[in-house]
Amino acid sequence: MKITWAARSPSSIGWALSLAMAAAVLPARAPAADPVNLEGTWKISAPQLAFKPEGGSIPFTDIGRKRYAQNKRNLAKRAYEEYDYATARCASPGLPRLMLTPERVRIWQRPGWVGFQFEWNRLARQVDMGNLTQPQLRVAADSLFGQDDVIVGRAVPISKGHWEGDTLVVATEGFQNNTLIDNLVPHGYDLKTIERIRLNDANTLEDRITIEDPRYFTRPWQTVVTYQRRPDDPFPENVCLVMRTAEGAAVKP
Amino acid sequence: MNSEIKSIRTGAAVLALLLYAGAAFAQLPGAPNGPPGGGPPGAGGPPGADAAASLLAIPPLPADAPQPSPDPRNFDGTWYHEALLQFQITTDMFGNKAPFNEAGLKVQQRRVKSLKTGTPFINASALCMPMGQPWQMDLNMPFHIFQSKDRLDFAFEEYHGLMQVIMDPAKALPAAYMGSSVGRWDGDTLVVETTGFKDGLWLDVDGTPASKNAKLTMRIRKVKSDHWFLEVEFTLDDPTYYTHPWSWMRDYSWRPDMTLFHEYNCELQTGAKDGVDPSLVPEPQD
Amino acid sequence: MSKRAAHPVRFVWSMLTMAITAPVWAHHSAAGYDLSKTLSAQATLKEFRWSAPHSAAVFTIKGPDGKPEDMTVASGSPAMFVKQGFNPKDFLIGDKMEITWHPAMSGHLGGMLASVKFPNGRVFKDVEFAPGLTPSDVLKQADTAK
Repeated sequence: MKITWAARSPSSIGWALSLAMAAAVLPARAPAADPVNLEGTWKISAPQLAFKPEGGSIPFTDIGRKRYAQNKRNLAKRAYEEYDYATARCASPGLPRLMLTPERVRIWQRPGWVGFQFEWNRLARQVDMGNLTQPQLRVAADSLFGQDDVIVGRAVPISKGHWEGDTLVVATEGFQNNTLIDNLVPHGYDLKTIERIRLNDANTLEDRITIEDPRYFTRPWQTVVTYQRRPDDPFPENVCLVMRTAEGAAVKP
Repeated sequence: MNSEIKSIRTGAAVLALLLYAGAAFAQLPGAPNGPPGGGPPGAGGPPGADAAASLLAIPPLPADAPQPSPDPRNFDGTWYHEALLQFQITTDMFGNKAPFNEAGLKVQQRRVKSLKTGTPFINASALCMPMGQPWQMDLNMPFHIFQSKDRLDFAFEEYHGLMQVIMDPAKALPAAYMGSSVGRWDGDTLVVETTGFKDGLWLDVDGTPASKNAKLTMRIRKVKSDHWFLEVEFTLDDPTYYTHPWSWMRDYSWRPDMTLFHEYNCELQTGAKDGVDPSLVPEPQD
Repeated sequence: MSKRAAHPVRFVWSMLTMAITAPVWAHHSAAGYDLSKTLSAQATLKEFRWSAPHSAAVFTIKGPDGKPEDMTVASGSPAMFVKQGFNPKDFLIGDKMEITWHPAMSGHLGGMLASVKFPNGRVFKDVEFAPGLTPSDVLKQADTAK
């Protein structure tokens, strides 16, 4: 908090000083410049393994329909290794599937970025709001890490976000091709998602997700997930590798 | 390794020591750490180590980068262990040898020998399991601190690690692989006491041991010299392996230019039934 | 043991690179692999695992008893493949290739991928730990790779 010296009287300087000090000792919080504070601990309102498409059905291409059917056959056989690494291996379920987590998620708003900390297996996602100090060394395009991300993508790419009124609009692309949209729906490298995240009320968070992958879907399709606010309690350690059963099927992404 | 892990892992070995430490290794001027530990005792540093350090040095923080809060008790932000990784903590912060007892020395020597014979042991890191604070905070990868009234969340890039420091002892979390951490303020120093480790730890890459009975204390304070950093004094109180508690120092630079993390999807490998690195073998248990 | 005695400097370097991964070299330790040996086999690609800390690949090869057997090897990063003109996205499950690898000292099947020869004749070489490389060679390579 800057102290302006325009007001010269000692009392106003003292007031400004004490305001500055008060602001300094408070823990960091959602930047005052953000139109909405989404921070808090959230839990999905209606646990589900699959996204419900608006309009009733997913507009699959022939390739998409075939792979979806194949995934269903493998699910029936519990052959998770054949099509679902997350369930089989405790690997990252990727996005947008992580937004279906039945465990809690903590949102942190910080200057320049928004973080989502998932209780499940301690995973996280980040939204770059566009004004972080540059270069960002761990993901810079000319770093080896950054190159790898560009070459083969990530299960959870870094998203790019901005505010539109009271809505956090989040765009994600640069996916690996070895995760699923949810427990069954396939995608490839060309997946792109747009999420519109907002508070429906003080205790309800909504994520409206538009999913696009021309190889698997004839057109973009939408789905909505809502979350209820929970107390800001810490997450007991969550380690998927020790929680899953011997057959590898106990993991819920 | 404990029986839980053994029963899940059908194969033996995965990528234990295949560590992905990332860029920066040069010591910053003014950093309080002593010189790095270098190679095994007597081996000397590798040739070209200076060349390596300069090759791998990360650039200084841009002049217009944001600064941390002036509040000495606010640790919120992105921090990074900038110093060259010390892969064997051989001495404490005063230069005394780590005070092994007989049991501790046996474990430590067995681990070091396994590296020489070309059959290194599996450890938590190899399995992509939480590996405890010293290892988690030693590898040259950034972490975030999210600070709120009741706790501090440390979120690590490496192994997508998470450690939560609870400020109210009545609300301490149960035993965990990262232990259970409770914090209190001593002036402007945060004192974090961690107990309740579900398994023993490798403090460093060479396997300096800690048992599950260990109590780890971290005294953390925010310091500004020519750059902002967190100074951490680690103290290990572990009568199973050591004759008395001992301490070492680390510091972590304020690096808002490492806020966006690389992805660490290690279970893609270690979670597979055949995701074993065949070069690793199970560690004998005493 | 004699190899180690003859090259103590390289052994120390392995220890260093085991702990430190630079963006330009040494994603992995060579401590557990026998760099003096290189095995080869006709292989079918089962999976590439592109992830930190280190990528890996699973190949199906003919085992010692003649039956197909899956083998996991530590692999170079996607960027290393691209540097040699390959596109990792082009590798498909079921692709046939001729591979070489440095076996694990433990005796278990598998190790560190050394090279891949594709049906069209193109070859990928993991240049970080090619036998005979000295630490300063690696540094020089890292320099030019930058």
